[in-house]
Amino acid sequence: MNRFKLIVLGFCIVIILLDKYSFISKIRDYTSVYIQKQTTSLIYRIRNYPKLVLLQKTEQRSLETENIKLKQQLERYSILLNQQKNLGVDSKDLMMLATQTKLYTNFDIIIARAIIDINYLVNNKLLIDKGKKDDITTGEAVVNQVGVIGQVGDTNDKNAQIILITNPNLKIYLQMPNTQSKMLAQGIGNNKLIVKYINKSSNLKVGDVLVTTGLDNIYPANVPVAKVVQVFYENNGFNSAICEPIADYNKLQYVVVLKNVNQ
Amino acid sequence: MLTNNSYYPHATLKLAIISLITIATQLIINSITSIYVDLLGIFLVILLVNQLANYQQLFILAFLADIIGHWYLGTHLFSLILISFITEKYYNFYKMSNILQKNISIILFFSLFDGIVCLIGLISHNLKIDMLGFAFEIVVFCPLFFFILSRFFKNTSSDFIY
Repeated sequence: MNRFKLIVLGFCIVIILLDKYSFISKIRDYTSVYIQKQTTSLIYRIRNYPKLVLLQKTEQRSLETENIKLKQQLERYSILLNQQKNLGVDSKDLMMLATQTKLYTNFDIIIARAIIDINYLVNNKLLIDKGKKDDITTGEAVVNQVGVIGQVGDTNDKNAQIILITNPNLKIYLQMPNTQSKMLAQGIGNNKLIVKYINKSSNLKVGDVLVTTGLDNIYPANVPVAKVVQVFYENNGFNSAICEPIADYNKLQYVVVLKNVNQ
Repeated sequence: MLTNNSYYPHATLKLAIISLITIATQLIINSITSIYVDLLGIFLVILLVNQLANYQQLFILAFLADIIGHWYLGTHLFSLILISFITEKYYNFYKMSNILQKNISIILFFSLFDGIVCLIGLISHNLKIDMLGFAFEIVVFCPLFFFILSRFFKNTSSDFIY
């Protein structure tokens, strides 16, 4: 037994020497370092697993809340963007209105925002956001950058009702721009006007634009009102014409209330 | 029963499982604490003193201790063979000792074992000795390991008395 032990001891000394002086030490080192590395990483994972799970959950929660916030922000910004776009359109309208108002001599102008009622086609009326407080009175002309809209009807402190030119209760004197021949137009509803008592010699055609006369002290002269869509003969010796308003009520943003200075 | 007796077919399996647990414990302690311990060394000494493993098993464990413990190849086996000259003669006295005496014996043998390992390390590789780890080993881990492994020992008459 002792001999066996001595042999083993000798073997151990040889291994120790080999470990010191040969490549075996490198293999031993690599093996031990690899084991140590794996163990350390495993222990690190085990130790930090609850923290990682907690971190993931908190991160997930924070991401969720952030996502909600961002969505809300996006919605807010998209609304703002739309408003900006609308404002852009509005400001264009206003610029055009402002340039137009310089044309109207003898008239004070009040710019108001049109509040389109969905039933304006039925009622042939619309509201504006200016009223008695802004010195708007009944009977004043309302135009926009395209043409005549109507006349002020009822008013209250903050609002005024505009009777559109397509309203059957409204009549307006018109003339042809070239011949200056006068005619009377009356609203017939359904976004139409009828012009009666047109002289046969006036040579009114479909597509002609009729303008205001400026004789009524309500409207300035030569403001476009309506476009002829149909001309027909009536048995009273005169022609009649069906017209459509120049202004598109669906696209109304701002209107100008014209106040005659001389009145 | 942790013996090398053929009457206990699961003895080798048990030894393997305990060895693996010891290796894992040693790696964990060495990885997460600042102290360095050689639990496989203690395990080897306990096995040797109690004559619970044959030389083949001791060779394998010593080799593993060299790799896992970052010692140099052959040192554990060399030290083990050297102290085995004493433990063989000491075994009869050891058998009659009680738990406390056995504990002290294990501590002494392990100190001798570790001393030889460190000496080889000092001579061959200029090894740095971790005194704090050594203190932990002899104060905490030797009794603890002995206590755990004593569950697998054959109890002697003296153990029953005390």
